[in-house]
Amino acid sequence: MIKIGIRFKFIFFTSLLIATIGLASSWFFSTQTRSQLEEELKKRGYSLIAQLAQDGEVKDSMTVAQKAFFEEPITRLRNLDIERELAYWRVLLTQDNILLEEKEKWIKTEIDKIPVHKNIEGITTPVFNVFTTDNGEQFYNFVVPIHEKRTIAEEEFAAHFFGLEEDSDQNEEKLLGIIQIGLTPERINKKMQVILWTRSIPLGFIIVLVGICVSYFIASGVVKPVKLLVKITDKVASGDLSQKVEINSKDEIGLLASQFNQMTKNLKQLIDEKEGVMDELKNVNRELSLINNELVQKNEQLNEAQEQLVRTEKLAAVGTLASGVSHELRNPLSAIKNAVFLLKRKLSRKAMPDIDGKTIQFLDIMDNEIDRCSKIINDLLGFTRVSKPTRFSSDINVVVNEALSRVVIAKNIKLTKILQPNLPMIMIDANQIDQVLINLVENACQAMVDGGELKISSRVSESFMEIEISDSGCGIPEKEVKKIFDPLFTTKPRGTGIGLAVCHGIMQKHNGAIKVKSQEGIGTKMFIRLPLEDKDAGSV
Amino acid sequence: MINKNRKYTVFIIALCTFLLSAWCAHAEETAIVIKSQDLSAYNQVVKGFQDECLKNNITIKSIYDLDGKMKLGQKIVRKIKNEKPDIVLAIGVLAATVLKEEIDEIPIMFCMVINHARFQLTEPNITGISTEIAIEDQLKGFQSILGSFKNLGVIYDPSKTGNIVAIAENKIRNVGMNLVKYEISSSKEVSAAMEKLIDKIDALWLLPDSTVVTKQSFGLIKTTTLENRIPLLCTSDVFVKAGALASVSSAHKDVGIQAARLVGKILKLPTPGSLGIVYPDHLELSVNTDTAKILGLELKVVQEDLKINFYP
Repeated sequence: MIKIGIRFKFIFFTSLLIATIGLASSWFFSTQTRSQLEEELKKRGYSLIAQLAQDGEVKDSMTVAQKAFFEEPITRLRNLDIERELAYWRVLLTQDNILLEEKEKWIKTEIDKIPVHKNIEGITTPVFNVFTTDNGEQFYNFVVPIHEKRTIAEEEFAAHFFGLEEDSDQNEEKLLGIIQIGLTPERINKKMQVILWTRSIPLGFIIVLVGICVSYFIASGVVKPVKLLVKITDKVASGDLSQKVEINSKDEIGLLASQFNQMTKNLKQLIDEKEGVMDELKNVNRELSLINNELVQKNEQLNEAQEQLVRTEKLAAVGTLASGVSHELRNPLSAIKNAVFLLKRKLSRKAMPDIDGKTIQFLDIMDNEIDRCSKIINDLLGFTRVSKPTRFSSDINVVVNEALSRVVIAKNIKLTKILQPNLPMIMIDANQIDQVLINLVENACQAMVDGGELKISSRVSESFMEIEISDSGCGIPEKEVKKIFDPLFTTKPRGTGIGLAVCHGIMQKHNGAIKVKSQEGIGTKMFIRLPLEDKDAGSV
Repeated sequence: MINKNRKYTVFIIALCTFLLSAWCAHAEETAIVIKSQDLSAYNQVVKGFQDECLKNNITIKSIYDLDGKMKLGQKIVRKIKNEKPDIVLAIGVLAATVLKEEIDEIPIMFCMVINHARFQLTEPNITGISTEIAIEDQLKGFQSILGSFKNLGVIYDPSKTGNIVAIAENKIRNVGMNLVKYEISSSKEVSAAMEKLIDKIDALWLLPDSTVVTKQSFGLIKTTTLENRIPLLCTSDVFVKAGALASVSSAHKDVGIQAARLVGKILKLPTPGSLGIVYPDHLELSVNTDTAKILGLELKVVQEDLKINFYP
């Protein structure tokens, strides 16, 4: 789409306006001139016909109806027609009696085609009209009645004043006839043509030309600063608020520039203030984020502490329960085990008819289950009896190796040890940590029934000694990860849910931590973190 | 003896007859009448003049009619000069002006010249009877039917009746009235003049002014005054007949009579012009009763020295 600039619009419409005014002026000038010329023609016509009407010879000629007598009056009339506008003349004595009718030779219209004035009896004053003949010639037609002059005007008035009722026949002046003359506006038309081509059109052209030039210069004067303003506005819009319009005129454009500069200045101030506020807000936001992080951290810690507390309470409750139950079950189980043992020995020595192989098998089951119950009871007792660690300076790699040596690792499990050498010695209860490691390695092995890889690594991380045990087993469902350290929670069909709870308890007593990361189907990573320097443990 | 006596007797009778004829011929005054055109009003003047001349032993040698044509005046003047009358009565402005230019030895008395002052008819051998009536007499006549009124309006062309208005203005002011004037220079201005004047006047005075009074304008003036119930007062009974309320004028025949009576007086004067222009001695008040009725006037004319004519 073509963009039409304000300069073009201004010049176009101003020129259009000026052209219209120019044309209207030319038209008005032409019309006025024509009207004036026509008026002058009318005056000349009235003057000519008045001269003819007042010519005594004309009246005499009409009185005696002698056409020849008109030669002199007509010659005088033609001499008076300096402008050569007289076209025809006609003398009527009555409506049907034309005494004389002639025309100038250069008039194309035949005299008989020029209409004769009707109703000559009704004419009291000169009559004027304009008509155009069939061949297009236009004439200004003048008709005047010719009365026989009876007396002087004063006597006419005297007759009026003293009354004429007894002499009414004298009241009306005798009508001798009418004289009709025609003037052609040909000279006016030619003059108008001359005026049109020598004055109106050149004048109109000059007006339009001058108008366009003037509007161009005016538009330039107006548009130039406007364009500058647009340019500066673009720069300001693109963010450069340092721009300033340099227009010092005292007119509206100058005022606009001044206002624009003031606006830009104010805008810059506002943006500066806004940026300052934004910076402050950013700082506040950053501080709030830090506080939020701290709060989240604290919240996590609180949650963890709460979980810890709950877990500890659970452990305490379970421990109390387990201690009581274990203590009460241990002796009956021992008695049952002995009884089973004796029963099995008796049956093995003496065959009994009612006793078949299945009975022995049932007794074995009983014996195994009694062992299992004993183990559970022992575990429970062990769990309840986690004592305060007896710490000695220990090499964690040694503890790890010892723990691995005590666990039977299936052949389909690949063991990888990445133990960082020269690790610092730490104050731990090696037996308890060994128990933790065994427990974790066993769990890892149990998770890889179909084989996999078991990785054990040790390293120093910040102020902790960290041991990582990872497997490529089945992993732990996400919703169960948080519960695995709860006492009595197990995912294994024959688990007691005591092992990890015990591990957790041991790590707590060492001011350490045990954490898990697991993805179902990929594997599980267990982390043991022991402080390098433990206040409760004293120095190494 | 008898024959001789008879001869003496015849001789004496013849001598007496001759002497008487000679005396009579010496004592009889002759006059010629010349009228501007054949108007009824002029003819009445001639009639009055003829009648009174008979009574006063004045012989009217000839009566000429200019028939409104100035050219005829030359021929008639030649005839008058040949006839050598004692006095010539010129009736109308055309006759008066023709005689003024051509005759300076024979006394000329004019009459029926409207506003004679315009034509400088003031030669030593010229005297005349004014057509205009003294304004005081006109006012008396108008007030006899209207009662007193204050503002009398007048429309006039200064070039024609300015002198009449100037004289009348002072006299009207002297009787405690006010003449409200409106000047015009063309009969086309009559309409505007009426509009301007009509609310300021109690009566309108129509002067013998050919700019103001035309066939067309009189109708307008009459209609306007009637619509506004303003009395229209004139100086010719012709306008009263045409619808104006009243006029004070001289009877045309009386003017002829007055002219005949003035002949002897004029001829006794060393110069006829020393008599000046005299006013008509018989006036008549003409009133249109229809117009008076429209205006709501109750006619109670108490002017005893005026002859009153009621129209229609």
